[in-house]
Formats: sequence, structure tokens, C-alpha cells
Amino acid sequence: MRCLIVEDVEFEREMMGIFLSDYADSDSADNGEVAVEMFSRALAEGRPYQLVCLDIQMPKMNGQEALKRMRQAEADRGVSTHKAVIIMTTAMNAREDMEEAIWRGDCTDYLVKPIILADLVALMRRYTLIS
Amino acid sequence: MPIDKTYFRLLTDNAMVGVYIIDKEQLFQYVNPALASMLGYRPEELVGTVSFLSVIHPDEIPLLVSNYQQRLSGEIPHSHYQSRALHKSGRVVTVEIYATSINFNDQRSLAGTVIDITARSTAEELLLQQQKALELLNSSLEQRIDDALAASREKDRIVMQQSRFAALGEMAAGIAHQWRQPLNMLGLSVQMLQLTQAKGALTNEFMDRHCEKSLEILKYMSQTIDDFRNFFSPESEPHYYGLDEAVERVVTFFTCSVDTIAITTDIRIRSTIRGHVNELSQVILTLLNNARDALLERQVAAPAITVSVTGDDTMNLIRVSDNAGGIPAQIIDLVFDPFFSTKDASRGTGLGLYMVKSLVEKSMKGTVTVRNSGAGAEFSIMLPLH
Repeated sequence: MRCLIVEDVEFEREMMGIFLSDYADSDSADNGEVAVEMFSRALAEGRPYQLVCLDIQMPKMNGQEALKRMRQAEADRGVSTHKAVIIMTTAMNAREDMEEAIWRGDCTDYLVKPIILADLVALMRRYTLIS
Repeated sequence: MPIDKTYFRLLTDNAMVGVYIIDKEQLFQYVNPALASMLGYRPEELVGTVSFLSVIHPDEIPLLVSNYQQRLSGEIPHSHYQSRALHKSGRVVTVEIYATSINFNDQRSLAGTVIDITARSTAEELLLQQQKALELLNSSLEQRIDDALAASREKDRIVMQQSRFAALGEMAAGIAHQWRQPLNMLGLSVQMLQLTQAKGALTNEFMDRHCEKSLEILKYMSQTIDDFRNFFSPESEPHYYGLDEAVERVVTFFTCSVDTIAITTDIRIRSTIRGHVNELSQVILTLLNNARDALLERQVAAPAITVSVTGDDTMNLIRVSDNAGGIPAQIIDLVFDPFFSTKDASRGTGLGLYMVKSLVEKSMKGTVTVRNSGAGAEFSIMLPLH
């Protein structure tokens, strides 16, 4: 499994990377712009990310905009059945926003910070990324 | 000089006041036309056959009988009093009586004069009523003023309380915001320590690094509380402070919580003013928060806020402007009103700008105005130089 961690705080990025290295080959990006670029390139190269952990509040391009562009990149490539599991991570309590994003089908799920790693594992299991 | 009785008869028969003579049997011996007419009779209907008590209001009879007896016995020579008579029609006639005892046909009798004071008494009654009504009105006026004052004080109290709650809410929201990130870092750190230890991969270096990081985060979180407390705690005494430094401090503080908005400060003058620095902080923070909310809500492409400090010999001018598109013309005059808000109830109390206006005008003796300046709203705070 390939996974992309998008997080502007270095320490968090690093911890998530160490944690997820047990389950996947993980890459990371510190803002939305870089993340979209990496995501699109991976798609083009035929080795897409199956999991994206996407922070919402980030400089340059925020998580919501990055999410939109990632889904657009998938649509452009005709990906419809094996879309990436994109889990938004947020320090905001914007539950309504998140639920609306899930309902629209943009993001797969979300985690509110502080993140409990067991919850992340449960989500990976739910979306059959791990068994 | 003796005067002919007929003169007296002529005088009493034509007198404008009522005149009577009552004998010891309580019968009228003489009633002049004025008195008879006052009571609705002809004199001959009353004289010789009618007891005077029959033309007296029943409630007055005990007093009149007592008066009658005292005068007849000579106990009191004369008396002057007010009473109520009964008209033939049953109507009450208020009268004033001057009565004295005389010898009439060698018998001790009572004579007196009577004036109809019904009109006067009614007028007096009316006056009394009006006086009472006036007193009532006066006292109720005081009551109404008291009520209005109490209502006004209550409103002020509620506004102050709500603004305190709003400040408290802002503080809690600010701390929550400032804490989420470090809490996440701490959480991840603790979980990673546990997971690494479980895998048997926990090294001294890993442990040291996580402890150091955790303490650094804890210090930062503690500092956040102090910052917020200093920000919202009231100061009792006014003191001198640097306006430019205070503005910069708020902007720095605010910038920590927003990373997607470009915030520019343009300080043209260095000025010292006297007052409560926290009040100025609260005013500017409210304007910054409002600008941020507008920018986020309207999803402005390149959101920006500019804070400038300028001035001249007479005043300092602080301007907070954004590029969120401005305030609709139909509500721009209402934005400083208490409880006016365009945000939904969970996010706006409608007190932010009202408090801004109150603090600027009442405490800082300045003025605050708003206008749309092309790209967005521009708030100007004019503070007179001390």
C-alpha cells in the first residue's frame, strides 16, 4: 500500500510517517500544493496512493482545495472504482463540514485532532486497506 | 333705634341666602323663599307642619339633633357648620349653615341662614380628585422613571454580562484553537512511545527526543493560557502605553491563529497614549476576528487584512481593513447596534462591534467609523492625543 501524509507541522508529519511505515510505503508533503502534485504524478505513473491523510489547515493550499483537486485528478484519469481513501485530519470542530464532504463523496472519512492512532487503524480496516 | 319688623320680614323674604326659624318641636316656623326653593318646596309646604329632620340627609341627623339640642339649651350660642340636606326630588344638597338660638314668639327657638354649597363642594371634590390623580400621576411618574431606569440598568447589565461571556467564549475558543495542534503532537508522541516500546524498538535517543518535545509543547500550552489571561483580564488603573507596540502585539497574537490570511501592519507613527491597553487589544482583536470571519465565509481568493497606525498633532488613527467585499449598504449603519449580527446565533452574539463602539467612545474618548473602501470594509478608530 502507498500512502501520502499531508501535514504542515513537521513533528506530526514525522510521527505519522513512522507509524504508517508499519502498514505502507509512506510519502509526505507539507502543503496542499505539493500534495496535489505528488498525488497526480503517482496517478500518472500508474502507482497511485491508496491512502491520503490530509490536514485541513495548511498554508499555500488548504486541505479542502487539495481534496477537490485530487478528486478532479482521479476523474481526469477516469478512476471511478478504486479511488484513494482520503481521510481528512482537522484541528477544527467542523463536524458539519466534514460530514457534508463525506456525503458529497469528496473525502472518505475524517479524524479530529488529537488523532488516536487506533482510530486511524480502524478506518484503514473499515476501508479494507488492511485486513 | 328700633326697626320695624316688616323690614326684617322684607329682608329675609328677599334674601339670597336661605333663612329659617325652628321651634322646640323641631318644626319650621319660618322658611324664606330662597331656602324653600333650595330644597324644592314652596315655603307654605314646610312651615308649621314639617320637622326640619325630614329635609336632612339621614346620615347627618344625629349630628344635627345634637347641635339642635345644645343650642336650644343654650349650651352653645351659635354654630357654623357644613351639612347635607335633601331636596324634594331626593337629590343631596350640600349646605353651609350658620345657626343661633333666639326667642321667637316668647319661645326659645333656633334661627339660621343656609347657603347651597353643592357647586362649591362639587368643585372642591373635583379639585381634590384632580389633586389625588395628579399625586398619583406624580408618584407613578417616579415609579415609571424608576422602572425605566431599572430596565435600562438591567439591559446594561445583560450586555456587560454577555460581553463578558463573549470574551470568555473567545478566550476558550482561542485556547482551544491554540491547543489542538500541540495536543495532537503530545498525543502522537505518547502513542508512538507506547508502540515503539511494544515493538521493543525504544531507544534512549527516541525516548529523550520525545520527552524534550513533550516538555517544549507543555511550556507552549502553558504560555498560551498566560497570553489569553493577560489579554482578557481587566486592568484597574489606566497607564501609558505605546500605541504602535500594543497594535503590533495584537496582530502578532492574532496571526498565530490564522495561517491562511495575509496580515500587513503599516505603522507610520510611534505614539504613547494613556488608558487600558487590554481595551485597545479587545477592540482591535474584535475587528480582526470579524475580518477573518468575513474573509473565510466569502472564500476570498487572496484574503488580506491591513492594520495601519497613522496620526497627526491632534489624534491617532488606527485603521483595520480587509478585502472581503465590504458590508452591504442596507446594514452598514446597523453594525454597531447591540445584538445586531449577520452571523448565525451559534457564532455571533451581536455584541462585538457594540463593545468596540462602547470601549472606543466611553473609555478611550474616541470615535469609531466604518466605510466600504473598494475591496472591503475599513474600520477607523480615531483616538484624541492626551
